[in-house]
Formats: sequence, C-alpha cells, structure tokens
Amino acid sequence: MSLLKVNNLKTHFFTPFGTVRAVDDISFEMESSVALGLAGESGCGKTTAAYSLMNLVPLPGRIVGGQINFKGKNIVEYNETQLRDIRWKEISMVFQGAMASLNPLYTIGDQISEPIIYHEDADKKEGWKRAEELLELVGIEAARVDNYPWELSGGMRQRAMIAMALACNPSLLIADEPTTALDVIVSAQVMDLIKNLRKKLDLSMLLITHDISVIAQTCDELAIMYAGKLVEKTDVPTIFKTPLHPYSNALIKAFPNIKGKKKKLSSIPGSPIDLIAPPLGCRFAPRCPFAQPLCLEDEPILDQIEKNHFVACHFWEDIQSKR
Amino acid sequence: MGGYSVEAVKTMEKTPVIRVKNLSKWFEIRESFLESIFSKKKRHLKAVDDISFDIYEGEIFGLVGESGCGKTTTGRLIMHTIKPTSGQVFYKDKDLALIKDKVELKKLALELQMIFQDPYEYLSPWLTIKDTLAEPLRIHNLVETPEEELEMVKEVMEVVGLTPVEMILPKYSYQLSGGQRQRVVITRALLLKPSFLVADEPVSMLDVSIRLGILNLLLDLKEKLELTSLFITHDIAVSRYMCDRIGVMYLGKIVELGPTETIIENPTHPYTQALIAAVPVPDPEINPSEIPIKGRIPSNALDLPPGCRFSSRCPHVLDKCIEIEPNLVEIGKDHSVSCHLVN
Amino acid sequence: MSGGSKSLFRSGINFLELFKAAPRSAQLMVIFGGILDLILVIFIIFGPNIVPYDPLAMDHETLLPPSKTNFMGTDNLGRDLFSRLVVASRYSLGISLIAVGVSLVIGLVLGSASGFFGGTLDRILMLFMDALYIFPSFIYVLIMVVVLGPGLWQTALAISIGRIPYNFRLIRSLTISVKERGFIEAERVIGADNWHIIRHHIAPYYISILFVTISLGMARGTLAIAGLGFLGLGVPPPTPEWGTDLASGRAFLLSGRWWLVVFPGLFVLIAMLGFNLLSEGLDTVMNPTVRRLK
Repeated sequence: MSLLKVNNLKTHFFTPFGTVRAVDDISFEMESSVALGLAGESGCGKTTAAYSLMNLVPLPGRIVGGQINFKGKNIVEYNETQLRDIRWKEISMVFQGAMASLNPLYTIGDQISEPIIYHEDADKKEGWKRAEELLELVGIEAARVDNYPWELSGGMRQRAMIAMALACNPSLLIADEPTTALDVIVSAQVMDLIKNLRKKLDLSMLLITHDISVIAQTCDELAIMYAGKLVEKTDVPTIFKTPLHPYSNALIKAFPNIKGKKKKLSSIPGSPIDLIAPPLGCRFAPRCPFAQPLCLEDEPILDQIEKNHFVACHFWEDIQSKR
Repeated sequence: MGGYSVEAVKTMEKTPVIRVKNLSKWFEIRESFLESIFSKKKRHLKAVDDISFDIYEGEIFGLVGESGCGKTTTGRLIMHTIKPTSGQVFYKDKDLALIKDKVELKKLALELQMIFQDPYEYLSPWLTIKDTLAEPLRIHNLVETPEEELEMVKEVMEVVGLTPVEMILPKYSYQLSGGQRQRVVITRALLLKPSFLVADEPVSMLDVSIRLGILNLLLDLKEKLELTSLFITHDIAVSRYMCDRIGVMYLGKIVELGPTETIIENPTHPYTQALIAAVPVPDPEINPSEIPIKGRIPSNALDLPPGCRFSSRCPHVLDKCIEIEPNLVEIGKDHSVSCHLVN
Repeated sequence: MSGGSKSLFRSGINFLELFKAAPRSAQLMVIFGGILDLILVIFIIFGPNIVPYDPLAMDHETLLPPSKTNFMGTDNLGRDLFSRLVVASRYSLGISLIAVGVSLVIGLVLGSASGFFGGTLDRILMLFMDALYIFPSFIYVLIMVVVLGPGLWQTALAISIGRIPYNFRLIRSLTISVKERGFIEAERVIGADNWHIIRHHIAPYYISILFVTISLGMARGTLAIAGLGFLGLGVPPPTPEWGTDLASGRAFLLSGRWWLVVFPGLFVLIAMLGFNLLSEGLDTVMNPTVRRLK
C-alpha cells in the first residue's frame, strides 16, 4: 500500500469574480521514503494541492471532489477531530517564508514543543527537552531554544520551522517553497539539511517549488503541474534526460546554466491562463510549439506509459520521435 | 581569447560610459535616546564601502551578490536617486554630484533610466497603460500632438513585444500579467531613448517560464539599440547568461571583478567559489559539491570586523585577513580580486 | 502638454464594480445611509417649499402635541415644529458642510506638505497638531465661538478649526504611505518633479477617501452644531436649528411636552445615522481587501 494516493482531487476557490479552479482533477501516488517534487509556476495549483493534503485550504476555497488516501484512509472525509489527529503527527508542513509563519510572541522552544505536548500528552519539561534535541538535529545550538523568532537569521528561522515540522515524527513532510525567501548560500545549506534529515529519519517528503534545479538535487520523483492539472510525473533521472511533455521540456530548459558551455535559451511564449475560465482542451495548447487542432478541443488525460511515467499529452510520441 | 568575447575586448578599449570611483554610502543608525547621550561613536550601516568599477559602452555589466551586499544601493547611487556619502559617479566624464541645476537633472532622465524588480509595485494602479507610457513623453515635452505620442508609444511597444498593442493600451496595470507589466516598465524606460539602463533584478519576481522572455528581450535591446546596462542580480547563473563583465559584491565591497566567463570558469575569491558551488544545477547526475564556507550565520553590514569582511566565513582564513582589509588587485587581464590569499 | 490631467478622473477604480464586490452588510449601509442622506439633501434644497407652514410664523396655538394639523406639534411660541425642523436642516447641515470644506482644504494643504516634504516643517506641524489633538475638538470650537461671537459663518469657522488636526493627520499618514511606494520612485526616475507626483499620483488616493472623510466630518459637525445650539452658543434665534430648539424644549419636558425634545433629537439622530452608515459603508466598498484576483 502506498503512503499517499491522490485520486481526481479538485479544489476550487469561490470568489465574487467567479470560481477559480486551482486544482482541477489531479491524481498521483507516492510511496514511503520517497521524495516527490511538485513543480510548476505561480498559480498552477501546487500550493493549493499541498494545503488540500492537510485539508487546510483557506476560504473561499474548498475541496470539491476526489480522494486523498493517506495510508489507505480517505482523509477528505475526515471530520475536524480526525484531521487534528493526523495533522502534524502524520503529515506536517514547512511553510514558505518562515518569518510570517512563526509567532513573534513565543519562543521557538514554545512553538516546537507545543505540538509535542498536544499530540503526545507530554509535559512541558519533556516537550522542551525534545525541542532542544530537534534544534540540534537541524543544526541550531540547543541553547537557542529560548530565542524569539526575530532573534534568528532567515536561514535559522527556516531550520527552526523544519524542527517544528519534525516534532511529532511525521510520516510525510510537506515543504512549500522552503528556500525561496533565502539567499543562495543559505538556501543550499537548508536543502542539504533536508536531504540529510531524510536519509537519517527515512522521511517521505513532498517538495513544492518552482525551482526545478532544487528538485533535481534533492528529490527522487518529479510531478509537474500546469494550470491546475498534472502534466507529467516520473522519476527524476528520467525526466531530466527525456522530458516528454512540451511544458516539462521547456521548464527544464529555462534555467541558465552555470556549468558547461553557455547556451542561448528560448523562452516559452504567452503567459499562464485564467483559472476561472480555462480553455477547452489542453491547457498548455495556447503556448505549445507543437499544438495541433485536436489539442484545442480535447483535453488529454494523464496516461500511464510506463510503470512510473505518466504524461498528459496527445502527441508525446510524435514529439519524442522528432527530437 | 582567454574567456573574452570579441565584443568584450572591443569595449575595453573604449571609454567608460559609467565610471564609479571610491563610492561609499553609509547609513546612520538611529540610536535610542540614552545611547545618543552616552555613547560618542555613531554607528553606520556601510551599505556600499569604497567601490570602484567602470562600465563600457555597449556592454552589460553585472553586479552579483546576495541580499544586503549593496548592489541595489549601488544601482540607485548610479541613477543618482540617492546621494553618495563619499566618492563619485561619472557619466560620460561628468560628475553627477556636480549637477545641481534642476533642468539639467531633469535632462538626465533622457540618458539614464532604470527598470525595477517588482512589476506590481512600480506601476501606478490609477493610470491606463496608455497614460502610463505617455507620461514620460509628456513630462519632457517630447511630442507635439496626441497622434505623434500614440505613434511613438506603439512603436516602442512593438520593439519590446508588448502586443497586441490595441488590446493592452486601455487596460490598467492590475489587469496584466507579471511579464506584461515588466514589459510596460521596460517600454516606459525606453521611450526616453536613454543610453544607459540600470536593471535591478528585473526577473526575480517573475515566473520561471516568463523570465527567459524578458532576459532575451534585454539581450536583444543591447544589440538593436546599442544600450549599455548595469544588470543587478542575486543569481549568478543569470548573470552568466546576461553579462559581459561582472562584479561580485559582499557586504558593500567588490570582491571579484572581471569578464564573466573568466570568473565563472576560474572563480578566485573564496566567496565567489562558494556562490558558484551553491547554485543548484538542473541535472540530477551532477552531485552538489560541498559549499566551501564556514558557519551558518551570514554576517551583516552593521558590526564589521576590521579586516576582510568575509573572514568569519572563509575556509582559508589567515590571521592577516582578520586584521587588514585586502584591496582589489589585478591578477589577470581585467580580472581583479580582493583577497590576501592571492598575493 | 498637459501631462495627463484627465488621469485623475479616469480613475482605475470603478465604483459600480467595487460596490458589487462588497459584502452585503456594506452594501446595505451605503444604500440605507444614502437614502437618509438623500432625504436630508431634499430638506436642505427644498425645505421651505415642502413644509406645510412658515417655520418662523407664530400662527398656531402654543405647545400643541402632535396632531393631524401639526405633524410634530408646536413650540412655546406657536410655531409648527415640523416645519421648523425641516428648514433647520439648512442651518444644521449647511454650516456643517462649510466647516467640513474649510477644514478639509486646510488639512489637505498642511497634511500633504508635511507628509511629502517631511523634515523640519513636518516636525513643527506634527508637534503643533499633536498638542491640539490632546483636547477634545469641542473645546476649540467653544473657544472660537467665544472669540468670534455668534453667527452662522462664525459657527462654521469655529467647527472647522476643531476638525483640522484630524484631517491633517489623516492626509499626512496617507501621503507618507503612498510616497514610499515603488511607482513614486519610478516617477522620479522618469524625471517627474514633486508637483507632478503629488498632482497625478498622490491625489487619486486623496480622492478615494474624499467621500468617507466628508461623510464622517458632516456627522461630527452636525453633532457639534447641535451641541453648541444646546449650550445656547449656536445660531442666534429665531433661526431654526436642531440644537437650539432642543435646548429651548428642555424647559417644557417636565410638564409633559415631550415632542419639543424628542423630535429635534430625532432629526439629529437621523442625520448622524445617515452620515455614519454612509461613511462606514463607503469605506468598506472603496477599500476592498481582495481587490484583484491575480
């Protein structure tokens, strides 16, 4: 049984301007001990998908369809009490922008020990001891357990958030753009930390980011979203060698390289679509260099073309053969 | 050719469009009332500290560094929107600080222009795109009739790829996408036909798939309009894509300066080496190398050690480094490094 | 070239669009407050024409309770109360409007200069205004009334003085917050001078708060005038005014002539309600938190 099996998940936002179909029927599976990177640009629905997994979608959004099978149980149907039991204990999250996510009025010791005290019926002393251990684990001196968030640097806050997320030994860690707000060097150190922790704790991870390079270095599998849909999913080595979906291909090639010869790169024309009134047919078709009339009418479904390779494109074989 | 393009060699033989000499910008730190009575020493945030470099005609010069290194402040010092604490900025041999006449200062806008990082903040929410773009022409009285004005605006919109023109003109900035807004910002800057452009992190806030479009546009403009630019970025991979020469900044100082390919292939300063090692590579086969840097807390520009600013994190630090600040020394053709190890 | 002076009015904000997107409570406030204010405006403009009797004519029997002939009864001088109170709108509200106008202009000039230019000018003005702000504005109103003496214009001026520190602070903080925005820096880079920036890029923000500021000011002003009238310092008799009429009606309360106090008070209440509802509703409508989708 896989750790996480998402079937036809749909999460929509009901706004006065119309219904934003942020996540519009996505399905994927994730095994234990695997790191899956969920990539895409802003507005593609990846963050909404992550929040859906913890049923934490903010108003005016809500899950409107599909199942999220975590360890065999569909958590979409859970009530608040049941959800509270799995939140943080089974699935926890590292949020984007640690400064906004840490409470400035409480020490990080308080914040890390809080879920421990709540979930594991520990007392304050045990909670703090565990908090100190966790800080050491993420590379912060245990003595800093008394610090307030504003006393820490950006990188350290992010590490504190990771410590907090690991407090109750979750099975699945969701990391939402953990390094976007950080400088290059600090960001690399944080990703390094995450990698080591995964190995140490045999942790499953869902990494949400727009930066494919980070996924290349830290994840086992990669799923790419575009306009609320999943366009390709497979393991990392395969997708970087042979990306099948035109969007995957363009996205991977969109990064100026620092090693090897300097190349002139080509951009993807057009811009991301309106999720209130998405076009019929393939959502990437308006920007796709290989688009055919069929693409504009008929939406491609996510096909399983190999054991662990899924693509949603009508003409992936033709495109592949031409390359 | 030792890492230089033919253009780079050509530009080095011309005179610099921009010459920065010993430029510094120190910000005074406001203290509490008690501190201001009892302590005599004033604390300064040395955002930019005694930097010098030249930008040659027709090239894109990059300032690369992480947040807090002073690159954005330097950009504004060159644009003369903030005044230096000491040092000079020369534009075509004219010291910008000496221009006091209001009319002259206004005319500077026709030569030096800037595009910004945040396409959401840097456009007025109250004007249509047409009015936003026409505004610089009106301020400087560059056109006589509304028809002429519209002509000019459309022309530059086409060059910048802000199309379809008729559809975009009546819209408001919040109705456009991030990429389109940035093109509006670029169009606006170009309407004044400047010879020099400062681009302050123009793609950092844009989606990945949109970035290349803007970057390639800027490269195009360099060719078509012979535009000289200062390109400010925290992403060294982008600076490699865009810039002919770069200066790597750390806490207000330039630590390495020279042709981009030279520096990328042969990074000499330990900070540059760390910066390059830290860039994630979109290739799973390449294992990330150990980042040659000590400690986890980056220093800030407030309480600086007397010697080299990088000494607290440098893996090769010597005693000398902590006490004496190194100078920018030329180690190759147009390649300078500020590090004691190199001597 | 005019520099795009049309831009001020071709604002990016469409009122109808904003109204439709506002929460139901705000919409109701705007509608209800708006209707009340509309009624008052009709009273101001057409007051003397629509009332059954001359407000100054002492034609009726004195101290009559409300009846079919005298809708709200008569006062101690035999004047029809209803006619008096409707016509009084002109004075109670009209003075308020003048006061709001004057204090708004002064607050705008001083506040924008202080916020935009900062420096010593700002520090001096802030000290001055902060000192004024310590006391309730009504005290300044009283002082000015004593200094200037009775009369319509004098009352208007006195009330406007009381409102200036508030308007000053409002405009000043608005100016400061806009001044720091990115597009203002972009304007400087383009070569715009201060006047251009204030006129084309900061002024729209002033306009966006205009209606709310006026409504709120009218509410406060009306209350102040009624307060002055109640203290006997307002418009001189026999001019009808809600506060003065309420004050003179007090003497007859104990003898059971409740209408002389209740109805003037009711008019004040309706005016206050109308302005407060309208201003609060408009505030929510004009400043939506989720303004755009992208």
